[in-house]
Amino acid sequence: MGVILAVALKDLRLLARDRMGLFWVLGFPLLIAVLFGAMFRGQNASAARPLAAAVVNEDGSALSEKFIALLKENSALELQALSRGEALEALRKRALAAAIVVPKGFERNAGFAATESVVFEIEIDPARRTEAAMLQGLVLEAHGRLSRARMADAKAFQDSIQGVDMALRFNDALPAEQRAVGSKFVDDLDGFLEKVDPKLYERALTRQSATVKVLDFGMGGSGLAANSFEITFPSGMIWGLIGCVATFSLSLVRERLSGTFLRLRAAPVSTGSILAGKALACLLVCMATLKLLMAIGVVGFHVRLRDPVGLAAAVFCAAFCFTGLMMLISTLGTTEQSVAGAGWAILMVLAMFGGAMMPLYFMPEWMQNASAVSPVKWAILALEGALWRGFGVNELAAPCVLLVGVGVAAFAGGVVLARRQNLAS
Amino acid sequence: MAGVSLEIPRGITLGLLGPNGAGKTTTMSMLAGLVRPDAGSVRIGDAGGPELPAVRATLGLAPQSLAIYTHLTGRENLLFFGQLYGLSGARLSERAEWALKFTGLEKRGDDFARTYSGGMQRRLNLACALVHEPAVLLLDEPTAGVDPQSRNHLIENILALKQSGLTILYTTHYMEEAEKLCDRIAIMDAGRVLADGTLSELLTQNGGQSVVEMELKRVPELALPGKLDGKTLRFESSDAGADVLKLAQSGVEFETLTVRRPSLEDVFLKLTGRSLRD
Repeated sequence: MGVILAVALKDLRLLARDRMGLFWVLGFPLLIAVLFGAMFRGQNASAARPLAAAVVNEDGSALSEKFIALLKENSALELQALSRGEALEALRKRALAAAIVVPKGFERNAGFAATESVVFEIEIDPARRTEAAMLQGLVLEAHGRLSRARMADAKAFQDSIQGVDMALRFNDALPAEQRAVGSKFVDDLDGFLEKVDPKLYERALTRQSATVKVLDFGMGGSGLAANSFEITFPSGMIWGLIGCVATFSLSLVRERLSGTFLRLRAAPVSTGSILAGKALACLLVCMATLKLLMAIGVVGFHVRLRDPVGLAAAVFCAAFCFTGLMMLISTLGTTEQSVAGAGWAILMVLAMFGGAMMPLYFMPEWMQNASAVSPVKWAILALEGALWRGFGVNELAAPCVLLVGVGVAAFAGGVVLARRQNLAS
Repeated sequence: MAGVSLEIPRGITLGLLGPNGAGKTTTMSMLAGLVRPDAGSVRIGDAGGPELPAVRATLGLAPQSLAIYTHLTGRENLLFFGQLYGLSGARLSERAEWALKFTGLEKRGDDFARTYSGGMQRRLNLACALVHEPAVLLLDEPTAGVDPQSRNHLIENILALKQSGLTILYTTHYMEEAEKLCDRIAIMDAGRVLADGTLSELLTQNGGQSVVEMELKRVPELALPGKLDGKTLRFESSDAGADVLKLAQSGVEFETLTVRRPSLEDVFLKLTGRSLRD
């Protein structure tokens, strides 16, 4: 144990004197955590940038102008009135994300009991297809508001149903009995509109019948995340672990190249003890990094510590797993270039698949399924579970056991490869 | 390696002399337990081979390439390597201080090793091999690439260690070092030990006669003894005076004449047919 501690303390001392190494271990992950936090905060509706789109008025009627005015009232949109040709050119140049086309005949078909329905067209930049659904919703919402406004004006509504009455009466395609039923309904409605108190009618029709309120499940309230930084800090912490692994995985190859590993091997200690000492140093630095990041999160970004014991367990298991990965990566090459290359290649893929680079839900289904093999996913889940998802012991146990298992397997693989390299050298 | 057999008595300094690629470092690595021989065995004392930790604990290795942490101080290096050999507490501090003093680094002990000169780093490399008080010291070209002053310092250190009764295996391709430091010398080339013995034994076994070197005015058209290299004639002789007189009487004219005792260089030349630094 004395030898393991001596090797660990020596490695910690060397790291403390390597400013660049310290930056990758502490500075870089903190930058990532802050950057991610700022990005997620930007997703709040109030702070979101409006969608820049063109509106093409092919109908040119007063009603279509009114519809466009209603669309423009929505702060989620930044509309420019253009011709279809101009709009498509702007899309091609990526100046706008979409073009909403108000079709010819809009005024005729947007009314009560129109014979044809209005078909809006949305031209969308193929790179921004995910925003088409949002745009669709906004167009239909504006159309709904227009219809309600038209119905709320009793006089205008009365005028429009008179046209319907005439159309019904002379529609030979309908059976006479059905024409009579329709005409009666229109007459009754006309009579109702004649007698109704316009103020009461307008108040009833203009009141929003249904609204949608978007609540962040993860934000506010009891047991959930306080702010966006609380959500993004686990990803920042993972980058801290990646920084530690990248830094420590080079220490073994550096020792080999500088000749000090020769002296370590000549000493009366086993290769396992030397590697265990290096692993202990890495584990301590990983845990210290995570705890320091957490402390910065608490002090600087209002991240709350609600389950310190669970968090300590998650931190230990994540650090243990990444220490094992460090040992494996450190033996994947015999030069600094090869180990650094292998390290970043493996860690980047694990980070990408595990959701540390971008949220998992952005990925295609096969990638989301494949993410289960990345310990990054389980480390994030364990840290989130302890931090704001309110995981109980059983829920936290699954990712933690998995992380420890991966760590043990990777460490064992690293020791086997290191012994082979020693025999070969 | 092609069949190396060596026996080094306790308290002896054995020099392994040979050109680059002769197999000196590989031999030393086998003795230190860093390389496992394909065949044969290495035994150190009565305890067994270097694969045993107890045996490795009695060895001190100063590798040819510097094996020190340049971002640690000299003292930190010594304390760390001492710990690897089981030293701790006051004994560890005492040994580290001794090693610093012995190598003349006591005033720079708290400076980072990266601030040391090349010679000082070499001395620290030696100190790290001594900190745990080994019984056998393996020195692989300890003076390679250092300035003359540091070289002298190192040689004085090694002489002091030799006088203290330490068993030392010393590899070098500097003949003067081998002659000055080693009780016995093994001459190696191409993975083989070509000769092994004391300096006088080697000289006697491989000539033992005076070496005559003549710088000729011109190369005569008659059979000459020894080896002619340009206008330099070199031959061994048991009666140098008579042989030189005979050559002069036969019409050989020379600018300079040197008659000297044979050296390891001559032995090496005789054994391998080439110079040590070829």
